[in-house]
Amino acid sequence: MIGGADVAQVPGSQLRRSMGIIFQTFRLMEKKSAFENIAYGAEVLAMPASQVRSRTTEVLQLVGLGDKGHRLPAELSGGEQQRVAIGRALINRPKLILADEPTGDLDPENTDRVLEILDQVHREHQTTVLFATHAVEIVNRLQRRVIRLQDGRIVSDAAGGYWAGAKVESR
Amino acid sequence: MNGLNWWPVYYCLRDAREGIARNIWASLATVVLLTLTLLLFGGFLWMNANLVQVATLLERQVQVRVFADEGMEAQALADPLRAVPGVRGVQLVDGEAVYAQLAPVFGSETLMNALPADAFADSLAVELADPAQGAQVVDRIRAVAGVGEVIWGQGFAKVLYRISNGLQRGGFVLIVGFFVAALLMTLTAMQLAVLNREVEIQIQRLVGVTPWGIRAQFLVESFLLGLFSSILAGAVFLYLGEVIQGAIAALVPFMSGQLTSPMRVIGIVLFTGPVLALIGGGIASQRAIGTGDK
Repeated sequence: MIGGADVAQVPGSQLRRSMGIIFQTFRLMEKKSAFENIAYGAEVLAMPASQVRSRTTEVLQLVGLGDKGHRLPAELSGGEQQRVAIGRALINRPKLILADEPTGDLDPENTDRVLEILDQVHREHQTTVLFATHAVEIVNRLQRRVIRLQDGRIVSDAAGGYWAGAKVESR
Repeated sequence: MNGLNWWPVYYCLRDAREGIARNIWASLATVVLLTLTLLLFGGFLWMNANLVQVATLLERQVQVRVFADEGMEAQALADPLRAVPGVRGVQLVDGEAVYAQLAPVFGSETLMNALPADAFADSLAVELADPAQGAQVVDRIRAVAGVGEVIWGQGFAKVLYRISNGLQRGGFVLIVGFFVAALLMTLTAMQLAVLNREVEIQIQRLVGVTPWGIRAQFLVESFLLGLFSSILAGAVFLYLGEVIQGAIAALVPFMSGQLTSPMRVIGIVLFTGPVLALIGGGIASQRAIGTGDK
């Protein structure tokens, strides 16, 4: 269930409107600026231009790129590019963010920054963040609910504990 | 804005413009091929319409022109021809009078100087009672002793119909070939556009744009290419049509009022371009994006 809707019953496009998705590879449009990359996610859903502008500016501030909106992806560091991708995932104010190894290609400093942003989004916007990672240290550091998957099956689901010490539940 | 949300249209047009600019050579090739196809199509329709029009005019003619054999006076044939069943009336046409009538029509001094005043022989204008029975009556006229050449519009109409049929068969094959080529070119251009926008398409899917919403952008792009080609083909066609009409009017003035205007065909040309391009864009985007909403 997302936002009270059964995910098995709603069309894929409708479901994805309530979700923001972040990948390990940033998947940015090379010929569009950071601002345009973020705005595009809203434009394709037919949001009026004035609203797109204000919301994109707001999201750029949130991801710490307020002064770099005009830059092309090639002019940004890897961490900054990932923040643009996060901004794009946030532009439509999703109820759920799916982050698939979002820090996989980032250095520790940028990893910290990405984690801070996602934490802030979770706290301030009550957005659920589903963060997939292989990095034990990140899981241990976040101290959140941890669902462990092995061979496509859930092998443990524990709240607030370390991954290493999580109680294993059979499913 | 009357409560309507025009932003999708605006964004679609903007993205289509960017897409055409990004794929400029494929887009230009598409426009050139579509324009040529439409010109050929329009020209074929126009030529065929004119042939049919002239043939229909000739078919409606009830008059047969009869010339006498050499050494025989046309006037002498008047009574025998009046006696032929199906003939309503016979009138002598003076050759010199014909010469005088044609002078202002052709207008060219050079042409008239090339023909002596006695170039046209006297003839008889035979009016048929029923044009539907024309062929039989003309056969009877030809059988009258002393009758030489018989000029009958319906006979020429048949020749024109034969030309028109041949043109339709040959033209059909040629046009179908061009249509297929134009369609394939549009399809290729749109496939390139889809490939160039792989990331955009992924993003659109991720944020929840429906497959039809994603396809709309490519349909708008192909529609614009088709529309541009149509306008270009329409303008060239109108210009060439006017030039050809002018040339025909100068050469054969009495035909000028009988020709079908290129304007009668222009609507079909303007309509066909976008439709053809939309089919190409539709197939390309269907293959790349699909319509299922999973």
